[in-house]
Amino acid sequence: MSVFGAGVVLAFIVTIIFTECCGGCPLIDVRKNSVSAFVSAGALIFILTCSIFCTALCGCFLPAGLTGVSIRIVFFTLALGGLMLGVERGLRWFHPMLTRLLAPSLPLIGIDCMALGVVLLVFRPGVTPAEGFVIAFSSGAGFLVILLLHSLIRVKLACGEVPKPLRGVPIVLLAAGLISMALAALDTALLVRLF
Amino acid sequence: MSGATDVRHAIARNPLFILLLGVGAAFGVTARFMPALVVGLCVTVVTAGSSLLFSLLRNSLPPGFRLPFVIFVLAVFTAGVDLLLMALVPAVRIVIGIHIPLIAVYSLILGRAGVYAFGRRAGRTVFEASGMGVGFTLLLSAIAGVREVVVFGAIAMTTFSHTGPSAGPAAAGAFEKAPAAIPATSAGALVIVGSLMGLVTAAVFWVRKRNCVGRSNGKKTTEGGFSGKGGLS
Repeated sequence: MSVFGAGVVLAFIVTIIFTECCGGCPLIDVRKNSVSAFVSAGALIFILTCSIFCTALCGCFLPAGLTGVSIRIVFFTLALGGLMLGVERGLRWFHPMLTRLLAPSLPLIGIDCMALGVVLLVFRPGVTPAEGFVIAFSSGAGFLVILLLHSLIRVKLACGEVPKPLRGVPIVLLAAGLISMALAALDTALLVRLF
Repeated sequence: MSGATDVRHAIARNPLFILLLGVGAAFGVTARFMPALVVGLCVTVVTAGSSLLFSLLRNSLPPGFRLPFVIFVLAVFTAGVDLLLMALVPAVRIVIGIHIPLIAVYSLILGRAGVYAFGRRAGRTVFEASGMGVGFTLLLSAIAGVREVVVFGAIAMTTFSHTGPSAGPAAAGAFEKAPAAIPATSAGALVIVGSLMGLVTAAVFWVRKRNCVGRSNGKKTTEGGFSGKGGLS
């Protein structure tokens, strides 16, 4: 399968938000506004791609013997934290107003279960940095697709008659489950043959 | 604040169903009962241990150094728990997969560290963190119990023949072959958790309506449940 095919499969079928259940909190927090979904997913794509480069760079300095999962947890979490602190410092320098708006939550965007999940999935034996970049970008693109679908569904739900106990989060989760089932109906093998 | 008030606050600020934190674990590890229980206990240990450390060092750390310190401590605690699981229950650890490393970045632990642990005394912080962890474990176990009973008919405490919690849409085509396996997938998890939240909210509405009818003064109650204060609508 080509790199493009792998990217499409990762973005539309094996979406990390449904396969590994990473990033559930942003999924529930998504609003009816599609622009906010674009901004949120765009920020995550930026963080994911940056974190791949950052952790790959830091991985060069990791001693060869220290390759256990537990060591990688500490190492990658610290690398992501360092990256987010660097982004915060840079943003404070270039755009102080935006930093003040995002101040309490900015470091926590990158120290997210989706960012660490993608990094831990990418840094496995046999995965090259280029493939890792494709995986990270495609995972972010899949996240964008899911958030957009969700924001549109929330617009429709706002117009419909939802039973009172199901209003709010429960109906969001039910809709997410139906989206997940719809994505599962797509056949990976079909896309593999296409690309 | 009394102990009863603490308990009431712990219920009102339940991370999973009220604050909606740690929902990834609710979908990812609840395909089987035992992994859900283990993850809940790990979260409890990491939360209580890290909160104790943060509380003890709250006067020693400068504010600008707190976030890197929190990240480092949580990563070390999670790595320790991971090593412990690999030594004690390796089969369960393999089934849980990526969700043990993700404890290091769970928003419920980070939020607790930032909001509570640096501002309170050690004993009370550990008490609150343990209570939150136990509540989280109970909810995870309840969701996992429902899913496992629906799929397998009973709760198995030892066997792990299932492909694990990551059998979501990656197992495309599995729905046609085994419809009863849907609750074991992430799609089923979303539907079951959403339905459970709806049921709990309906129960809350029913109880409040009954209390309201029972009162003679007819005070109007505020809207609650997941569509109320904790909801998004």
